[in-house]
Amino acid sequence: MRCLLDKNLVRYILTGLHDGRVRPLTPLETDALSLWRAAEEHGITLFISRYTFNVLQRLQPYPLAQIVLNAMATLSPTRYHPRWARRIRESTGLSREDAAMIALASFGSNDAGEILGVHWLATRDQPLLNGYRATLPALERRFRAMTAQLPAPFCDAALPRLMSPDDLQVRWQM
Amino acid sequence: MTQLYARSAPVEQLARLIRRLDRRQKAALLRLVPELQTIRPDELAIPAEQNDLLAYFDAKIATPSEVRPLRDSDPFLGGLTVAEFFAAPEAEQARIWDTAHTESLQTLNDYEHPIRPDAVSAR
Repeated sequence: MRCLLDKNLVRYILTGLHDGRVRPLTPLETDALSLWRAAEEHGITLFISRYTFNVLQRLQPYPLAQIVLNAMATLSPTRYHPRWARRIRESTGLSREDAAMIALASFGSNDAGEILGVHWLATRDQPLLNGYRATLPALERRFRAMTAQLPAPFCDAALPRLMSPDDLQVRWQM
Repeated sequence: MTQLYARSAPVEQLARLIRRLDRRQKAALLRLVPELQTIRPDELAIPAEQNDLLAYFDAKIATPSEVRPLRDSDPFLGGLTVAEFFAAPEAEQARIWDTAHTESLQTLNDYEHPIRPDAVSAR
């Protein structure tokens, strides 16, 4: 099973690891680090987006960035990512960046090109969670119509489940 | 094992200076920086659960010796140094992080990652 982390969860991981020995962690930092630990304990592969990967690469000389880059795989956009991101924006009114992340969760692949999409997108962004859930039936219809026309492996693409870190941890414990 | 980041040298230097002050000078310092009196020692106490959580990541933090620790004066994001970024309010950190991601998204506009026909779907 695979889970993509949104950009802010990665930021909370960085600030938590940087400051965690000198001050109490914020609930957001605790959540993000706990999610990482829970994922490893349950055999879930964590991914960062190619967008976050690029940002961390700028910080690569530093161990703080290397810890994340070494531990997490990168999910990169494949052929039909832009088309699906555009349709998500049309259906949901979400921002370009949010639509790109949701589309990446369906049409992203790892470095070796061996996988298509992830099962979960972890985010604490409440407007994103609400916007996705509210429009999910319409999105599912458009997604089925689009993927039915695509060649392999894209015809097997799936929509991700968007969940908060705490909900994901509860789910993984079930 | 390399430390994740170097200790905050300016604060430790300042602490050494303050320790050399006599009581009258320390009282003067409190008048000059009254917010010091509003900080409760337990505000900075690290809960036991936090130590347990961070201990899980200790092995990952162990980095090759050729990688030098992050220093406060190193450049980070948004034109800020490491110390400035991590001391910035959360909203400012988020704004800088968002800007870096927006730039990254723009550079990947036409990027298409290769994929195998037998790639395993998340279905």
